[in-house]
Amino acid sequence: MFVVEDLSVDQKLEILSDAAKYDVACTSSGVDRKGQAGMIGNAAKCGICHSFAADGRCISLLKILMTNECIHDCKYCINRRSNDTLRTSFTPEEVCELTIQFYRRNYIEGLFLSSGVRKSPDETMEQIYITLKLLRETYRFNGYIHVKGIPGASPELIEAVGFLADRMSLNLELPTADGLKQLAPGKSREKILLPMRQIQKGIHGQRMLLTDGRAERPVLPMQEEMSLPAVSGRLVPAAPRPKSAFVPAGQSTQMIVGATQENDFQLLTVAESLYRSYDLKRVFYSAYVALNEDSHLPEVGTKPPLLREHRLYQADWLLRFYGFEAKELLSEQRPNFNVYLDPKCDWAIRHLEHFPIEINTAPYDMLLRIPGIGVKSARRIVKARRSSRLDFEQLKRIGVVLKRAHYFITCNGKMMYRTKIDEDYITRRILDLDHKKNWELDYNVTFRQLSLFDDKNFA
Amino acid sequence: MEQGKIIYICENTPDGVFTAIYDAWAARIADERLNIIVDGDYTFELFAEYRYVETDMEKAVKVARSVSRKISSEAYRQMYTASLSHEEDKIMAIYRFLKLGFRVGAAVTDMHGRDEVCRVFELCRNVSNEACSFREFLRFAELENGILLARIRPKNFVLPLIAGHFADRFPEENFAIVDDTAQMGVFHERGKKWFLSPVDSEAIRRLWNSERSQEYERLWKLFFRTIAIEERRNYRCQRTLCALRYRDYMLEFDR
Repeated sequence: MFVVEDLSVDQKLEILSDAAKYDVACTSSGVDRKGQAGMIGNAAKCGICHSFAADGRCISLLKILMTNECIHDCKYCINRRSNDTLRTSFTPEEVCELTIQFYRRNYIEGLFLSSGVRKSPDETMEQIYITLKLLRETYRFNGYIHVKGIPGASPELIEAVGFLADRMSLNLELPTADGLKQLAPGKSREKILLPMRQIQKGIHGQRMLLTDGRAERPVLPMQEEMSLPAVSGRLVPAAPRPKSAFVPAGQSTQMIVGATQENDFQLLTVAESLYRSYDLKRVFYSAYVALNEDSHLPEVGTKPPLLREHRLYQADWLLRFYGFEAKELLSEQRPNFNVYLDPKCDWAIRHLEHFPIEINTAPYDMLLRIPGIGVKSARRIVKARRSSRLDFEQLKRIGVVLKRAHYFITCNGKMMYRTKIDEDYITRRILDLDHKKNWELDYNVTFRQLSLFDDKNFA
Repeated sequence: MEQGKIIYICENTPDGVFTAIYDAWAARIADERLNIIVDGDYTFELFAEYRYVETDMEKAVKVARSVSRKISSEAYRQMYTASLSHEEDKIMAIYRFLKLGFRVGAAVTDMHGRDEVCRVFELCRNVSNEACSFREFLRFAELENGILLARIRPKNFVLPLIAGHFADRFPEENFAIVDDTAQMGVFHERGKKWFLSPVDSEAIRRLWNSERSQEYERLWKLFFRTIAIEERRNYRCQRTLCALRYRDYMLEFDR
């Protein structure tokens, strides 16, 4: 390892943002906080993106590592010990200056601080703690902070950091314990889940205080297998938060897609149990970019599975906002998503017995299951039909994507066109709609370029 | 003889729009004879009677108050936001929306089956979306004296919608946001309330081109370049999410 001490801030920023970029989470959502006299910053629950990089990913936070020195040798990681790269570290002051100066120019919504493990998990977590304390207390920063928990760090440090950050995340990295053992010899499932549970309990404990334990659900005992009973009902803190909240924007995690053999069903099942039993706010999926040479990994230069990642995000959305369960979307027999159809359409086409659905009478949860209708438009439909019957023209103005939805709905008993409720027929029509988009995602070529050698019509 | 059209012309601000609505309402003109437009470029119609509206704060406040009280605060929010739109039909859309609103009350904003409700909703959504985009994409430059200055070139008049956000976020900063389209600016002095004021575009241009600190602009461009993953490069996606028209003053896109 070449550790270089006296680099300029420019050089450090280049190295330590380059080393941080494979972590996908860059959202600033989950917490509303007003500004305060004498401080700088506020936070918006919906999150705010500030720019979009050349890869189309949102830039919301200053995403950097504290250091890219690392004692671990995780095979998939660009910062693994055995890679011959330049190593350096920021000082806490440098991180604070960059954050504040970027923030006041409206470049960013806050800081996303992660780190390699330089000497020990505790030493690393302590550096992070010192930095956040300086940023919050001396620099008076009141904006968003997302911080990585370091697996293996002591519970006291995790807790102390949790009171300074808005969101904390520990990356699960791989959906199965075996995969993790194979690719990250220095980490274990337990070392990741333990702090995750601690953070959950911290958040939970705070809610208990605020709600007097009303409508609270039990914290489940630590389990190695993450199969969980279905518990419904979300909590809404009823009282104002205490002055310093513990991880108010909740925790998130990330899984790498395509580095190992795990299928979509495994990934999605793990995500589902994380939402249910660990109260996670978000699970992120990161298409593996093959940069490291290793016999256990896809060959260097293998294309990152972007379309697969996209499908997982779509399905994740269905779990969180549309009332779907993982087992409705996939099964042991059908463990991977249809590459050509989005998971919602795919589900609808395999369950045509529920369709067509009458817009003017269907219950809200059924409206949500119609391809082309989102949460917002479903809500608007329910409100609007109280005063008048809705027709296709009004659905369009409400924001329903009719070119997708019209195969599955009726308005006042009539379909929009003379279409058949037939699996093959609808599949073909929708594939035509989506073909272009899907190819662009994975192959990054325009449709025009593609049609030159497009053979789909000959199939 | 058929009665001719009556066309009200008002100042293009919420105050002006609300005053015009008040005057037209009080005159009880049949809908099919009435039009209300903002001052500026309009095609002159023969045989129409033009009435120029004098902006009157008292009348504007009366409209705002009775909409909030007799319809709902949500209806007022939508109407106010729609009044910032650049679309020509906005005032008549609001007028028809209010007519229905005063009849049915708070339920009006849910009535997506009605054209007049849909139109105000669309205008409002368009303005709010643009305000969101500028909340994200506007960039402050730090001038010599520590003052932060941003310029935007929106289609709609979004300044009143974004000013509060930045004043809340930066209570200790002296900053100004200038709208090139409307030639208006928001000004915020440390620890004080923000205010809107017309700006002298020549003065702004001089200020904008004056010496300013470059260090963090350079670092930001560097970060912006480094954070992209080469293997995932996708300019089309980038353009969908951050349209070219927002990039005028986004320094990271400077070549």
